[in-house]
Amino acid sequence: MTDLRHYLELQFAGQVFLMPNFPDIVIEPRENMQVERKGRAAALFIVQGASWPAYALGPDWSPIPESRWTRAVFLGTSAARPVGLLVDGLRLLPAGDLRIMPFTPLGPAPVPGRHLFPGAAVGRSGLTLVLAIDGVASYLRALEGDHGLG
Amino acid sequence: MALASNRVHALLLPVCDRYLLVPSALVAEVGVVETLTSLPLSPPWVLGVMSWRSQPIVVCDLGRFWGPPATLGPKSRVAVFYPLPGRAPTEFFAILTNAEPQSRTIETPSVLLTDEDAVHPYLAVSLDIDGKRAGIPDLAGLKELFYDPVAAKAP
Repeated sequence: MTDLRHYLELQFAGQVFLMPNFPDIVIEPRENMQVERKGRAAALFIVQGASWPAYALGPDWSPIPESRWTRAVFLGTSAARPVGLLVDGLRLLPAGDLRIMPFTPLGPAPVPGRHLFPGAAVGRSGLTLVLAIDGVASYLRALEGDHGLG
Repeated sequence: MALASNRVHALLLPVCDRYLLVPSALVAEVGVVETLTSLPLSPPWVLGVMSWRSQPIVVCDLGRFWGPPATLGPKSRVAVFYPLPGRAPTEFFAILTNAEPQSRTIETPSVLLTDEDAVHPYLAVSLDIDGKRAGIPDLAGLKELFYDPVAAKAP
């Protein structure tokens, strides 16, 4: 049976990651974003009077003011407070082309109770970490001191 | 003081300035260090993730608890450990070693407990094995170190 699911391949923080492409993920190109720092966010998306913050991350995943981002990937858009990740590059990959294996990162979880990388795609050229959407959204919200898990 | 034990087939893993003595039955394989993928937001003792038998496993530098960080070199190896008791059958992990581990059959009274006063993190006991400073890893302590009690519940 054909697997119709897709993954987003995201390039940011000097690394490539995968993320399941769920319906509540919204992708906005840079030209639709307001490049204005608000707190630790590097850009905002203004929608229906609300502003959704988006963060650029460095290699250590700390927020950085600017990067070569081309798109914002907003997570949890069906929740009260969507939050965005700024990515340098993005591709859509069929799940059937990937071999995703679960694994448990060692050490304390970066956000309370949640690891950010529940699996990895194993390929001939190495590993690509898979992002946990809820965990990444929690991490990004925590950058502003908001631990809400929306 | 002699360590009361039976004959045990063991591996001496060169880690930092000492050896880790582990029963061979705990180690699934010893191999070269494959390409490591960085695992962001991990503690410094996590070196990264590598592919082993087509599955991702975390590679640890436990030597950091007893000395300076490890340097990856041509002699570096990884000892891939079976999952710790109570963990999922896929939760293998790897410990970086300075060189190829040595195989030993450990017999009393060749193993002596040392009188070291220092308490070494994640070592259950310190030993002198034929003049080599060694330690037996504290597996319960490692399990606490490795697995976040909430985020990494065993299935």
